[in-house]
Amino acid sequence: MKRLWELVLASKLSVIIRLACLCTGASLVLMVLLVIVKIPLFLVLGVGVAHTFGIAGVLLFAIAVIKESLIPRLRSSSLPPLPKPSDQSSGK
Amino acid sequence: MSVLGGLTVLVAAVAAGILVVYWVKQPRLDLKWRLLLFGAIALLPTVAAGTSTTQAMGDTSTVQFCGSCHVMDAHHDDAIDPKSMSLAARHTRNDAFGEHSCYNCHAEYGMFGYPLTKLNGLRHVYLYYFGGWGSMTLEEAVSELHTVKPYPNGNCLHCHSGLGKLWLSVPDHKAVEAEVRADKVSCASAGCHGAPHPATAAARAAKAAKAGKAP
Repeated sequence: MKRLWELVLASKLSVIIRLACLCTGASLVLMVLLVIVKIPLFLVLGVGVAHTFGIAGVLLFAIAVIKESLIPRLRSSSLPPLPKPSDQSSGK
Repeated sequence: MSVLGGLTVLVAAVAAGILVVYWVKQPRLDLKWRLLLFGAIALLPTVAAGTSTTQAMGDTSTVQFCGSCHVMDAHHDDAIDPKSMSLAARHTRNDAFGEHSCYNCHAEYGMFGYPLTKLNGLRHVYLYYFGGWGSMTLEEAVSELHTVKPYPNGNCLHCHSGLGKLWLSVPDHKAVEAEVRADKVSCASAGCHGAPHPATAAARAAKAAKAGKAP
């Protein structure tokens, strides 16, 4: 799980959003099939699979949002303070 | 296609359209595209999930769906037989039950009735594919399969309240009212309204007689 999280953090933002699009797309296709195809076993299992893909899409999108907006802020707040101008001048 | 089905297709098409445009164009993620993606990944699929799940769950409550497994053939054929006078058939002919008569009679009622009924249905699916039900012949199924617990009179009393003048005017009802409400006497017992699925009752009786005669 930790590795997966590291992998997600290391991935590009566009890749995560593309993955979210894929999951959501799969979920949407299954939802449409659910109302068109009336095969009993598909009706039973399709609902669960469609919801799983949908939730995965939302989670990936949420990760993308967090990665883009929250993590840079956290990193910037944990950086050491910049040296004072007087220190820089004394170093000359 | 039903209204829910049409709404699902419409909402899914709009969401899919946004996702496809994003996928193909790969635009910069400005505020407009963030909102569009939020709509296409979170909001619209939530609506589609609600409508498609409602539609699919409704479809899994129909008589046709219940009869789609071969082990239910005898029950299903009797229920939809216009000449049958069994309880199941008479309830199926009633508009108040109609297309959902299996569900209406076998559902769990109460606050969590719907999800509990559907979870029990999932158990049936599991048993059909992994518990040997699928490989049973119809004859075996009719005599062996039975409800997981005795049929509760509460399900009958859910519609037939047992408080009406007509119901109370039947002497037998008055005589066993307390027992009926306490589930000590079944509405579907032999001396009362009889087995709702006669084929099942006959097959079980034959099986019991055979077992009794066996040395």
